[in-house]
Amino acid sequence: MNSTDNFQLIVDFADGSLNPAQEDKLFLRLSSDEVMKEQFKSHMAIKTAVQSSNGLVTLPSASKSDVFGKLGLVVPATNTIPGNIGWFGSMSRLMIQNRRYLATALVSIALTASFFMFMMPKADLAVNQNPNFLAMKPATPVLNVPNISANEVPNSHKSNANNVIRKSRAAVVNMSEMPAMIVPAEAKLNAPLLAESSVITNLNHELNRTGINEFSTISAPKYNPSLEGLNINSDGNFAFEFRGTNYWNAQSPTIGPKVLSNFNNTGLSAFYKLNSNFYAGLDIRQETFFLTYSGQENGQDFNYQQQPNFTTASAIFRYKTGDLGFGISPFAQISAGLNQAGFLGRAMTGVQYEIIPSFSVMMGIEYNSILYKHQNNYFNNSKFGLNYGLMYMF
Amino acid sequence: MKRNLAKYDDANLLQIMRDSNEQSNIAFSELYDRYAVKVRSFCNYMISSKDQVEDTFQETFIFFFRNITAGKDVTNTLGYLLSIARNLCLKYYRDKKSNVPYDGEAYFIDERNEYEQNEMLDIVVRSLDLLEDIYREAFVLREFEGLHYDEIAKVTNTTVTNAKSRVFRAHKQLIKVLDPYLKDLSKKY
Repeated sequence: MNSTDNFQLIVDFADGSLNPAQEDKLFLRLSSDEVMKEQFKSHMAIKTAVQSSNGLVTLPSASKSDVFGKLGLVVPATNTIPGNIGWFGSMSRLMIQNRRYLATALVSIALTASFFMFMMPKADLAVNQNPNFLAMKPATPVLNVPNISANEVPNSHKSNANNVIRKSRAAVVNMSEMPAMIVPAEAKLNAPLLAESSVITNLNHELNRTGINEFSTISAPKYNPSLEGLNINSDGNFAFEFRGTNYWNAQSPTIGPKVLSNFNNTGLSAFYKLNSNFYAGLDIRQETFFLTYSGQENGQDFNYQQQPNFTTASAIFRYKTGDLGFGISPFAQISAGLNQAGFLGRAMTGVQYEIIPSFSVMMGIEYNSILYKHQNNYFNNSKFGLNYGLMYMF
Repeated sequence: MKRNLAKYDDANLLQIMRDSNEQSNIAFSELYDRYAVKVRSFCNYMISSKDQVEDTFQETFIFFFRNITAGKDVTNTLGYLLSIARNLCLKYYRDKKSNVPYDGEAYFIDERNEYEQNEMLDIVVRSLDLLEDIYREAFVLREFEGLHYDEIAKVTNTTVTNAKSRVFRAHKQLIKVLDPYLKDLSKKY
């Protein structure tokens, strides 16, 4: 084997292109060939020296303006262009770019919703047509009272027992003056007991006391104050939220990622509703973060700048106030999580708008801070985000 | 609402440069920010004169802007920029019509002094002047710019095998040039 072959082995080793068998061959020869050993040390010394040059090249500040000046151009203050399509355009672009994932998410949501709608057992309101049977819907108490004259019942009470829940709540004020028609909360837990004669007797007594002697087949929605704290806006306690985010780094980035990940600036959260105001959950988010830090290599000081792609997993906690009107509820959220670089903390405030009981849209402003470590020193950077997304509650 | 061009890939920015007179300078600015350091680094290692480095660097971007706005179709922006820089460096050497001959002292009289803190790197960089152009550019593209052999082949208009061979020979020549220094260094440690 001549020296050229030996040196080729060394170069290929430094390039990382040797297979394990060739590496074994290289080390075997190095152990017995002094000339080759010297070549190896020299080559590695040169490689190491070259690698230490990373970040040493600096650009004269006047170069850019000189180049632009020679071309008759003006250096722009920022590399941004006016968006003639605005927020909806950005959203459209985001959705088009991620259409495959969006389609997958929608299909998943549809399948999951179908499962809950068709596979889970439901309360059957028509299970017993006996006029003395008190039928209950889990979240909305309903009383089937025979022989009440329609003329004696306010119009607002004439709605069908299967009316949507929102309408049931609207009837609360008017119904409050009809104590006989209010169903105890315990009734929901043990509906068959309500058919017992003692309950009916009490009802008849109350009806007689209020002067209602005739019975009709009108069903009226009823209000149960003890159910007020229950989840009556949707039937489940689990929710998913799909979000897009526009970020602004607190420190202007001087470098950007060469390639952005497919899910960049999108996030998915799974929530569990603790009660009507508090949610806890997990969040996974694809994002970039501009990082600046300093360190030493080979006795030299370096300043590093990078903006890598990250996948961040966080635990989240959201507090949502009650409905302020028109389905709008402000919320505040904090989260803590980890990614490949370090620890992230976030705080967000925003509003949630309920389109229908299961679907909400949200928008929130968020502060993000990342803490990371390099050579036993800690650094942190921050950015602001504008979040917008959809929440589906099961 | 403004759109930050940092989120756009090169192909989109090149298209903006080609399509829009009003926004082409902004797209150009973004591409400049992305690749200026790489191009500057290449020029630094290819040319020893600081003034000439600055001229070559600026001319590279001027050529780039003019060619793209004239409709030039480019798939690899960095490769294209380095090709322009390389041609300008070769032109500089043709005009100069000489390479610095190796006389054992040459690398101690060079005017560059940016690498004083790293003696080894300083000497490697100075020794690049002693390599033939084709080996120097192959070495710089591979080791300093981190290009793969197929990218080097495209930039230098040669085959992948030739690119690999040139990098190999550049290393061999460098070790030969640096041999006295490396032996001295080896004795120290």
